[in-house]
Amino acid sequence: MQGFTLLATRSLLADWPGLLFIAEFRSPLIKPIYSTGPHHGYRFALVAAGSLLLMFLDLRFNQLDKARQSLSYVVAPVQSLVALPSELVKWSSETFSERNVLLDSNRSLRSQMLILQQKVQWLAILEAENGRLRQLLNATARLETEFLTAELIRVDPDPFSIQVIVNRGAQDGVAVGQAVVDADGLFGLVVQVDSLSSRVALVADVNLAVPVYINRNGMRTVVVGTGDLNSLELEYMPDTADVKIGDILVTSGLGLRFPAGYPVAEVIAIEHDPGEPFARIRAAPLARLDRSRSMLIVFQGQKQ
Amino acid sequence: MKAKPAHGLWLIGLSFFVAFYLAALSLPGRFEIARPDWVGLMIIFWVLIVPERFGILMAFLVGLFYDTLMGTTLGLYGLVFAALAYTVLLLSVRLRMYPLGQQALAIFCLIGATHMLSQWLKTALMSVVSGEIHIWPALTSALLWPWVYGLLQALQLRARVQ
Repeated sequence: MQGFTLLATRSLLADWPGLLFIAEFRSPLIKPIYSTGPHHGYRFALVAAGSLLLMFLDLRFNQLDKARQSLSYVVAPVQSLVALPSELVKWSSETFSERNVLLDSNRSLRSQMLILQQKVQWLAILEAENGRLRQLLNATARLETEFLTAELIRVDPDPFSIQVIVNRGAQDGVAVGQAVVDADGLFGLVVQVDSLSSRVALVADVNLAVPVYINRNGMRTVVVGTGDLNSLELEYMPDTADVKIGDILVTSGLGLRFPAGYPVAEVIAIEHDPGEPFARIRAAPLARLDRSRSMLIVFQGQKQ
Repeated sequence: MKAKPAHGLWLIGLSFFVAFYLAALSLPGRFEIARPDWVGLMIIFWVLIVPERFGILMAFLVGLFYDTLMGTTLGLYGLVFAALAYTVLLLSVRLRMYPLGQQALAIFCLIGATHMLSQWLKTALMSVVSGEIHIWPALTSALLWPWVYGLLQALQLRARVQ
């Protein structure tokens, strides 16, 4: 009994010595397993209060980001180990592929480059013309954008969120809120930055909504993720809105979150239900959300 | 009155490294729903075996690392795993007496409750897709428990973790 009270007083602050203490009091035949007692309740209450405080601080303030980044150094080996098999396969398929296959891909890439270069020539002329016209109209110049390439290292294992981890982090100058694009369209948004990697929520994530306009007529709207990789939804579109199947949705840049002018999705289905106040319009994302491995992080008007 | 010297604690770290790896590994499509809660299983095992080394505080720390791996709000899994460790500590006397099958049944309830708690917290803090059944991770964890227990106990006896 005396041992127990001693234990209760001691274990409030120091836990392990207290537990070992009780082990000394029992006979050596009985294993020191009777570790239940009121002190666990106190400790759990303390830890629960601590974690609630942590959650509150993490949600409301940015100060914890540094702590999270330093914690992520410990987790980084796990992440690189997860990416290792696919890296190995990629490396070996590049190293051991046949000569004629390589030549083929080289040839096709070369012709693709030629086409792109021809388009770039046009782009330079158009850009100059656009600049002149804007000057005539006294409009503000377009912001120059810079890019940072990033490689996908890991898909988020949580089946209820659509997020990926890419190999650029705070050390590369990535910040929360930057848009990510792939070769075909808007890919997602940087939602969390660790020191060596960062987390990107895809446009199909339920937490993400992108302000867009319809390329054909300039109508502004918002496209929202549904949690399904192949379908986005246009919210609050009246039944009379001028939307057709095949319309391309382009980021409008309103809300200053996403850079303007990137294609996001294509309208694939429109349903008019007389019982509903709004039309149900679904769109398929243009970016290859489930296939792209390399993407670009956009620096818009901000210096690295 | 001297405390028992620590021995073989590297095994605890190693087991959690493996558990984190298995938790982060991407699985094909619909198998993700049924991924066993590896980290939860490790916490239950170590709390049962060496409660004087691995208790609520350690579970909380593991939870913090799990938060950075999963990208959840810092402290969410800390709370969830601390609650798991606390429940196991309360039940530990009974759990040790149970045969493995009955233990697995208890694991089923424990992991199910853990997932429920984490889902509550997640819906309270961020918007998530809900409506899926959270019974699958609990079921697969319970089914795997006898093997996890057997393997870890063999390793633990060999490394003389104390």
